[in-house]
Amino acid sequence: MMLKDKYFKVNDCTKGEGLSADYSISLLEDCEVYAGHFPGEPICPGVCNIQTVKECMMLLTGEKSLSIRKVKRCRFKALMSPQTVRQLNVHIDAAKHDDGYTVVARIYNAETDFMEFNGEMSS
Amino acid sequence: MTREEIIAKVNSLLAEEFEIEDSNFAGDANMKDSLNLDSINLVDLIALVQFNFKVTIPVDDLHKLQTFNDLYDYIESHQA
Amino acid sequence: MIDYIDIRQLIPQRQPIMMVDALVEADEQSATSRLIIRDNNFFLQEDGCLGEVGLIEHMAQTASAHAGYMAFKQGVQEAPIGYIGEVKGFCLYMLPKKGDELTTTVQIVLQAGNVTVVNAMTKVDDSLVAETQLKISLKE
Repeated sequence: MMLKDKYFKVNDCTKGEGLSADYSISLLEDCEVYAGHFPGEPICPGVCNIQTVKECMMLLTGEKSLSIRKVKRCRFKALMSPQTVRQLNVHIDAAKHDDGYTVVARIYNAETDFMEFNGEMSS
Repeated sequence: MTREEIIAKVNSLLAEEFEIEDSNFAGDANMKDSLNLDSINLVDLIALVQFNFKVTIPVDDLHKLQTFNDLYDYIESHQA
Repeated sequence: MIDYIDIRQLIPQRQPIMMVDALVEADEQSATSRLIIRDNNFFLQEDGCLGEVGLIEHMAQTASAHAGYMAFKQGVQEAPIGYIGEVKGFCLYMLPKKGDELTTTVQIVLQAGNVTVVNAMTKVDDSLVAETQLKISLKE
């Protein structure tokens, strides 16, 4: 996987019914992306949080590879820095269709809602 | 367009854009709260008015648009 | 065509996440950029393709490079920092692979305050790779 254990690590996973789950993750402050995003001011790239949702979906479904076919809407509601954000929850509500999965996901913690994602992925 | 037509069209466009079921908004209700607008989706509101009513809302007019009635009035008075 | 400007003048991102090689065209409302997918690309997948989020970052950096170019022309020295506020209506048609050269055009739809709405479209040669709408908010 592109980011698991480089950008984020999974601490715990609580499965809901169907294809829903809550992943408790932490950001890895020494990920190389922060050297360039931005020099002297580490800010989590929004796209890395979309990839985090995708990789949690791969864990949840067991799919070896998934492609983000469509993003209906993905809102980045607050900036995130690995220096200030210790723990994050990735909540996933997905449904399987014949041509892939619809995925609704949120990244948040006790203080802040960071991202809301609504899209389609297929293997 | 008459004011009633503007209200009906605006409400249905807002309900669809902001995914709100009940679209008869109270005229004096505050838009920012009812639609939980922030700087990002406020732009959706501006784009929606611009493309559907050909009414441009310059940034410095934005503060005048607090309630739904303000929006209806603004469109009514600025429509081509 | 615009004369060559070092991309580091136009975008604040640095390696390993510089996702635009150069801005090749720009005017008030639109800009076009190029990127060759190399094997050190941060978003390269094991299957040799560029991940979809790498495409989105490339499109967003093209929009930032456009804003940086406009600022540069007004004598602003430091490239403005922009954050993706929203990705809307992203559609993937094909995944580009290592060695492909992406050509991406962004078109400003609307600007309100510090938020810019752009439509972005990426091709490899003549094949459409992906398109989306992006809202970029510039850091005050």
